[in-house]
Amino acid sequence: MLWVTWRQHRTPVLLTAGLLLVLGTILLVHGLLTADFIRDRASAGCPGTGPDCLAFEQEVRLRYQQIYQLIGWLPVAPALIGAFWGAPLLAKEFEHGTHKFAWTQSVPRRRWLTVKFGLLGLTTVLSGLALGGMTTAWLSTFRGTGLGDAFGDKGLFAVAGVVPGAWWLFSFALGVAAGATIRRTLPAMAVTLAVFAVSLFGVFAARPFYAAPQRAVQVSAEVSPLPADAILMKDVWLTTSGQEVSRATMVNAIADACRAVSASVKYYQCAFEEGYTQVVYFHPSTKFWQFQWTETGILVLISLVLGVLAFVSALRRRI
Amino acid sequence: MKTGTSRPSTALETAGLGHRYRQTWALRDCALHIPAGRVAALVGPNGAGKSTLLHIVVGLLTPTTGNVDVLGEPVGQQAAALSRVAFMAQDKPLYEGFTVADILRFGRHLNPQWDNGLAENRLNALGIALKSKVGKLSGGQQAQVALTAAIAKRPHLIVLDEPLANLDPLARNEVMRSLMTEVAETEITVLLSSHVVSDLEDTCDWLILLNGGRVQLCGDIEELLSSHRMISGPVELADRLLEEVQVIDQSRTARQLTCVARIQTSEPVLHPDWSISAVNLEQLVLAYLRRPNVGVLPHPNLASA
Repeated sequence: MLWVTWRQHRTPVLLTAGLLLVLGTILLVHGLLTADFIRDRASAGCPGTGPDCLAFEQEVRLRYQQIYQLIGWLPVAPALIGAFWGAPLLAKEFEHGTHKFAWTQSVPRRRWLTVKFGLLGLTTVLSGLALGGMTTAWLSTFRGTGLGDAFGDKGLFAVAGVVPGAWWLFSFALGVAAGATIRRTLPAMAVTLAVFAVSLFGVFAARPFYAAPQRAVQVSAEVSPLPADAILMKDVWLTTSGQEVSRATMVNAIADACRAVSASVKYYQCAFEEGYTQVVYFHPSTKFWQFQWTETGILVLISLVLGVLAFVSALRRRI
Repeated sequence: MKTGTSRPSTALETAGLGHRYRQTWALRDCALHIPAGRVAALVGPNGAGKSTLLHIVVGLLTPTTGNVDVLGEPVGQQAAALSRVAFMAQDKPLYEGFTVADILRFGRHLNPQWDNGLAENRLNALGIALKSKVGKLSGGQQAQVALTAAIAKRPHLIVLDEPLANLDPLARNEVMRSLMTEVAETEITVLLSSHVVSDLEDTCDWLILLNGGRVQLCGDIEELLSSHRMISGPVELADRLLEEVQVIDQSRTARQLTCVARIQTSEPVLHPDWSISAVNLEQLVLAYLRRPNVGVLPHPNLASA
């Protein structure tokens, strides 16, 4: 079965491995050059408040953007795994009738399905993890520059850490289940892409609810209560009586007092002086790994359900 | 069923076999058997349930009712059961991107009794290069590759669903001939389906007639032919004829009655105005197919009647 799986699926597997290798090489070379650049300027006190640091920051930002343009697309990459690895796995067999050839050899269908799902599923997980490792390593070269926030950036979160492994597995399982139930390759691919797109936005929207947010109250007018790289859930205003009111209510209440103030910093100062303090509900970036594992767990669970669905469907459906 | 260590004499036996797709029964109460070493033809009109029956026999479908035994052992999704039966599905599906060598390697990896030497020799004799892509071969060559894969599995029973459909006359002849060579050299039992009876007359020695999901006939072709006659004569004598033989199917004109009848003794003694002749397989099959309610017998053991 090992050779059979390899022979039947080597084209998409090799193609994916090749693309990952190219991406990895680009990230490695780019990361190393950037690390060198940052190290060179460290002696000049950058990043910091030194005289040349503005140009330094611009250069680092430029370098970051070069690759971010590429990496920004990677959250949708698993859709291709679903469409090109997953959907044809069973649909192509059914479409060409070759399942009648494959399933009348001396290997029981149950075993055939288990080995194929298992081997290809494992390969997708490893590919996804490889991508996550590469991205995480590349992002680490920008540590301390204020760039590469893999927690607050929805897209980066999905391609850093361990979550890419789960995303790739999920998409693969989705494709297999679509192929098993629809039994035609092109419609199965289309359904896979559509469901993946919906799932991606669904998970992005659900992500802030993985944990109860923390609350912080503004202590001075000059400092935002929101830590760097945090995910903001909502911001409200606290009156002197300790009541939380919306921004609109606050704006109305201080309309007379702060009418003359135009600049936003001064406006907040005015609000602060009027007794309104800003309150934020947020997730600090220290929750990165908790969020990663939560999303991984959810996606792996859905993948298993889809896998069982595909398995049962392939065993039960009429020939 | 088994006698000592020798092979059971019945290659395939089904009892009470039925299969239902949602509300409709594709097969109902099928009891049939094929003695070991026979070449059995499964004949019936389109939609008679031939493919359903074959899919059950090879373990692709689980029957709704009843059971199937191959050489005394039930069929199903176990490696041992699967290895006893080989199948060539309708349209001979193979992986078109594979080379012929890949197909053989596929068979070798998935079958414990795979005989690679046999497969290579066969393909060599047929002039099919191992490095050719399956998708580039002609229909006849693809059928030969599929047949080779089925034979090299070293099964006890080989099941072929419409093996000759979509083949030109030359390819039909070659596929059939190479199958028969294999059968002659081994003890293999063959079950093949067709809706073209003339293809089967020279090669098959056992007949299973499936009509509307039921087994209408199941028996040795020579016995079946020798126990049926084509009888024709004056229509006025029809009533007396009906008393003496079992008429399967008849057609009448104003003066003439022509019928296919089952006879009791070796040669019936009838009124001299009747002309009696032998039936061929096609006439026999057609007569029964026109009368779906006649002869639904599990084992028409005519000799003992």
